[in-house]
Amino acid sequence: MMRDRCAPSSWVTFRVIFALILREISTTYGRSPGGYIWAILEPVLGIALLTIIFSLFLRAPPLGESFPLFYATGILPFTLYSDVSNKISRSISFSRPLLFYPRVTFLDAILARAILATLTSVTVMGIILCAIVMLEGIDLRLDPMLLGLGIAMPIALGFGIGSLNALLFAIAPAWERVWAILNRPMFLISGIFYLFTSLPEAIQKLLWFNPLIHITGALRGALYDRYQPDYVSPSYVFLLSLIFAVLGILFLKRFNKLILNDL
Amino acid sequence: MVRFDHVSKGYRTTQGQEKVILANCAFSFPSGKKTGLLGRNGAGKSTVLKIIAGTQTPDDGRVVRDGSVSWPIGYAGSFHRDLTGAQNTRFIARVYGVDTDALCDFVREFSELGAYFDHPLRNYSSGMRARLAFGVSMGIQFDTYLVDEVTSVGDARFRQKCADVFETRLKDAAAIIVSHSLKMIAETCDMIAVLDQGRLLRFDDVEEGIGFHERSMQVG
Repeated sequence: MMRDRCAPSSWVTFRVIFALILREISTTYGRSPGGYIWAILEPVLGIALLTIIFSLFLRAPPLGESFPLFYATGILPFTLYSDVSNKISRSISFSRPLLFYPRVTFLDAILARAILATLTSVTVMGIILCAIVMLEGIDLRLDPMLLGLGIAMPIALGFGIGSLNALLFAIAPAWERVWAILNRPMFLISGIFYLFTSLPEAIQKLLWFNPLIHITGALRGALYDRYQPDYVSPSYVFLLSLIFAVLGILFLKRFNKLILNDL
Repeated sequence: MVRFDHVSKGYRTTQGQEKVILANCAFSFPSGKKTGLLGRNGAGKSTVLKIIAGTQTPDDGRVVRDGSVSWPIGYAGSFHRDLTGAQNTRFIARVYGVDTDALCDFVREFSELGAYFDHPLRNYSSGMRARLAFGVSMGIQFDTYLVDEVTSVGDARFRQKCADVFETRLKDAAAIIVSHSLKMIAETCDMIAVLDQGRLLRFDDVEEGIGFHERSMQVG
């Protein structure tokens, strides 16, 4: 029998998020096989570039012996954070035509993109780290607690900053440009190609407030058993993420209809 | 059934004037009835439909919906250009929880798009888009259909087919219809609501409602 009666609105959120994810897979990634290859290639090229440049000057990376592993543990959590946050911050404009359907809410649009970006980036991260560990023949002693934090913190921060920016991009489009400029130095000040703990103390005091420095530190602590990043404060990162997420989502909840209809 | 409980809605024009669409409005669109929503140009008929659908929120008051309500039918803007007609149809089926294959079969057959059903939307003409949009909305049984200016598409035979399937769908459903065609309203509807100066006036006699609307158009 044809089930054509519109289903009641229970479970509707799950159905909608699932539909949005399938749709985005077939548009963003599925358009060409290059979609997925690029998701892996981009961080791989970044790691390769840093490896080549720094192996010209240094005899060994700041930790361990493997250049690729050292730069991967910097670039990958940074990419995870920036992917999640970029995808979420554009979710309102990306899904705008779909919000025309009363059943699709702004929160569905945000959650669908958050889930897809997280799954994609975490998978990419896993594949690249496994490949490096195997190719370099590294004897790995993982710290599961720090590994969990090294993955959970960039996701949380990406979600918080992404939600707040989804709101700000919608109400003040100029902010999108300012944000891009503000972000340029982030690659330099997030401990991607050096260790926070080897910086001068005065700089440490300042950079401690950059949540990304905690994120790269946590993942390195997880993969290098000699390295103990005592400065890493998960509560600082999670609290900051929570504040951003709550601000973004509360205001979007209040004003999303206004944004969609009037701006 | 859709009920307005002291709903107010206004907006500010680009010149800074306050325009009132609904002022403390209490109204009930009954189950199973086909209501023609009339009003002067710019009175805010489309906004009222959006408030019923839930894509706009009232400034004050609340909207009570009993049963499923469609999106305002007659709109193709939410289709994705890079997805095929079939993929777009499946998306809506998933959102509204109907069988994806069944809806695809229905739309493929109804919209007469042929092989284009499996082509990306960017290759469609506007007529083809409209046929797809109408097919998708007619493939799902709602309790209340919202219709915003369905422009007639295709030849006379196709238009007759649209009218037939619409009539079948409406047999045990309600509809709220906005249209410039008073003839279409008179044929389809069994009740009229006139949006006039922030109020919704109910006419159980369709002739009388249309008459009132025509007089207010002449005055204004």
